[in-house]
Amino acid sequence: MTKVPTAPRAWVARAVSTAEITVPAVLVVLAFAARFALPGGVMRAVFVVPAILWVPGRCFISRLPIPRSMDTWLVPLAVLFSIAALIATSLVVYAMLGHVDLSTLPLWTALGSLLVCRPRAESAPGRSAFRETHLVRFAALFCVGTLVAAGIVAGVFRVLPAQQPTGYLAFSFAGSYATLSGVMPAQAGSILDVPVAVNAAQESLSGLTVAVTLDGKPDPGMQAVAVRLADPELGAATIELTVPVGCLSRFSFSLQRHNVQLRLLDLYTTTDHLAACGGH
Amino acid sequence: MTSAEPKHQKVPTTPTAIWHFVIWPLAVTGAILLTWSYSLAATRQEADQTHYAVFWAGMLLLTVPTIAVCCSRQAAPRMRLAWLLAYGVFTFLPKLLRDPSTPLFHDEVAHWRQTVNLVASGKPFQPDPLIGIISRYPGLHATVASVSATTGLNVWQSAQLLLVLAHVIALLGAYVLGEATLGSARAGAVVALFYSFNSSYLYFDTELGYESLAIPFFLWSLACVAKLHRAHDRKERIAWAAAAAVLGCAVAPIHPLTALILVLALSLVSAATLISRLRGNTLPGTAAPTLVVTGAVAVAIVLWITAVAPGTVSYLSPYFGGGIGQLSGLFYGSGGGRTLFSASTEPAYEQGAAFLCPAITAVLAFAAIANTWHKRKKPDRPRWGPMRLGLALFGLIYFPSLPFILVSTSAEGARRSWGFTYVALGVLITPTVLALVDSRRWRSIALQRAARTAAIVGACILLVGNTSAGLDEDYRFPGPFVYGSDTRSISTELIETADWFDQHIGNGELVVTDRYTGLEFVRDANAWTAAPSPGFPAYDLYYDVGKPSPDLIAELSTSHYAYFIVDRRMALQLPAIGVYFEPDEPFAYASADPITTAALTQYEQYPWTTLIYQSDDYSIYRFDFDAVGAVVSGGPR
Repeated sequence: MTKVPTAPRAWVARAVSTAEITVPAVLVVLAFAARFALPGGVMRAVFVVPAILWVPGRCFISRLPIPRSMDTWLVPLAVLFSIAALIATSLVVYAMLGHVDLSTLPLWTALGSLLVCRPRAESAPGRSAFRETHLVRFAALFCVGTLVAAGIVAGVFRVLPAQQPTGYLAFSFAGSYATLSGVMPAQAGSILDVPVAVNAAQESLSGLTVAVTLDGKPDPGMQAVAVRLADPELGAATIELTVPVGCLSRFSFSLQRHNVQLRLLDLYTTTDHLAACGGH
Repeated sequence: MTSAEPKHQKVPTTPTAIWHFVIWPLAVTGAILLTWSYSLAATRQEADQTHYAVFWAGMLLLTVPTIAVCCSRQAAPRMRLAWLLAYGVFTFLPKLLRDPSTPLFHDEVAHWRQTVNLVASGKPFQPDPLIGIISRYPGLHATVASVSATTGLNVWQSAQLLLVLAHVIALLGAYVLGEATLGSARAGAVVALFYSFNSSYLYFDTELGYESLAIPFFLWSLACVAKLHRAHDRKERIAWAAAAAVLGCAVAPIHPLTALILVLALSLVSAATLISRLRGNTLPGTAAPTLVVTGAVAVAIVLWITAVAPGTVSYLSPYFGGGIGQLSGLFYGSGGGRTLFSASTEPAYEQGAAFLCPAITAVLAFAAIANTWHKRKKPDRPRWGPMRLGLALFGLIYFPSLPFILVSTSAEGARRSWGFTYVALGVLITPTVLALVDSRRWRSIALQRAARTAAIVGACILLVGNTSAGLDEDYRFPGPFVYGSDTRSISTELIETADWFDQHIGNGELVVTDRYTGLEFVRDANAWTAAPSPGFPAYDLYYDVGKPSPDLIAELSTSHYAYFIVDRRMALQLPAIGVYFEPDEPFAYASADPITTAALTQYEQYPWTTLIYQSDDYSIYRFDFDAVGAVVSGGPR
């Protein structure tokens, strides 16, 4: 069994008491500084997380006469109380304002919790200082070990083979035609430039054409348009159409290779009231 | 309260540095094996099951020595704690490595989307497209959103940080609960380990779900009550009561099921305390704070459900009522049952272990009760404190929950209850386990080793069997595409389709689609998927050939559903989990495909469904309800 000092010194007790208030305060100051000075990411998280997930709970616990023998468990308890505080403050603020800014509220919660922070009742200061020193050393070594282990595992994860993605070929409208709201009202005889796009993975885009039929019949005036390749996985084409007179006309865009239909799109136009064709 | 330690226990010896050091190489090697098992699973041939063996080799590499250290009489408390902490972090890996970059499980997508929307809008309680009830329990989302918004980490990274903390803290909570109830750190460590063998621990309670955050509050609230029962003075009792009440009340805005189960557990402890107090078997001053904690937590939960989440009752009641109904139907031979592991691809040893788990726990629980009963009139009889008695009663609920695993409505609920009851079962059986390991009957070294080996083998069976019973292979391992699986229906094609939708159509659109396509559209395109039901039978668009009913069209139109997405494999394959949309759909768990190719391709002919995107398997249509009934000028289609 590890030896414990039997004659605690007064300055040790004072140092522990001071640290019990100053450490949370310093963490909150660092968190505020990091929140506004550092870009979002791991570095900022290193400074912010202890302040929002430990300080509020730690300060709450300092008001409870929990015996020093429980010091080992104060960290998990403090984390849980801090989470409870975060939930409670966000709900209260939302109830009052109808909106909650979670990018700063947790920091204000931590700052506010400092108001209730006080040194915990001292049963055996030398013992508690000794215990806390060991606890911090243990936690630091454990964190370092975990980080090293995580680094090794992450490296292995990257090296080992993963699942191979499967191929596909997608055909779609592009530009404003992708957001069509259904049957498109148009002037009879007007010219429509309809952009289409082809996306693929592990599929060749060479030799693709887009053919158009009107109401299910090939229009001799409309030639198949070749798909231009922007890169090996992305192709595009623009098809020029003349809108026919009619309450409802259907243009069908067929993506083809060697006259074999691969994919299909539809565009419906109306130059009259849709109701004349049975719609509303 | 009696200690779980035998009287001939040796004084713990100083931990040797080697035992502290050996954690790390074992943990790293185990983690590498886990990673390798996922790689094997992702790149394997269809029938190959090597990944299971590699996975369990990795898991047991750290689990077995952890069990040995925790059960050892010689281990110092600090060494047990170090091993338990390492084990807690290590057991987070199976879920993390399953897909470290993105939410994958069904519930995860829902909670992740809810949190992302909370960060963006600053408004909790917003409706959720996948699981309606979670919008009324914003505790998890507020916490993750707080971490994400203040640190600048994305929501998924913030969630992982919080979840690993919750996972480890839950294990420590079980340790403190066991230690405080049974009076020994060794017993506490064994209770914690036993708790970690429950079917939810490795995967379900490590996912981004509200139960994962609620569990540590549940365990620590009970642990604080256990500490209350061991407190030396009134001030300390009040401190523990306050801590227990705050932690218990905090569950109310996090997770409904955990909240209700916590009230049940606290009620049983309170009843045991009250009876014990009336019989004069309890220290004065414990009954009142225990009752106050139970009352405070119950009131907080009732208030929350009444004022904020009244839909909770209708959400949970089908699982209870339906389960009992189906179970009685099964009893009287009118059907409703399910065959365990019927479509399972898990290896035979896992399935065997799953069937052994209830048997092992039943034998140990029976031995614990029988031992106490047998010695009830002896002067040195083991005296159960009210905490131990209340938890034992709570733990015994595990056994009546077992039949519910046989009916489809309640199988999941039964499995999930084990995540709670297992810690209490641990409190019940740990003294028996330790007594067996330490028994003086094992006179030779060989017999003592055999007893310890048997304990370790039993523990490994519980871990393997319960994990196998908890989740199917599709959730646990990556692998080839599986149609109709929440986790394995994701393909590059689906991801690109959802990306196209997000980039060209925008997010927040209301869409009608199936469960598996919908998950990806919710995740990548923030789409709002229809939730078909008998009152809103959007699934009829897939089942029926011909024009849908005027009522359905009116509902789709007035609700502003704009897009309709079809996976053409719906007409070719049955979904792996048995449903295309939700378990209450008309043809759920059908043995023949109710969807035809004609029903799916008919929309290529209708002017009210304009085909705007088509890939190998997916088609996206734009609804135009004004064109319902219209025919093209060139002739009817």
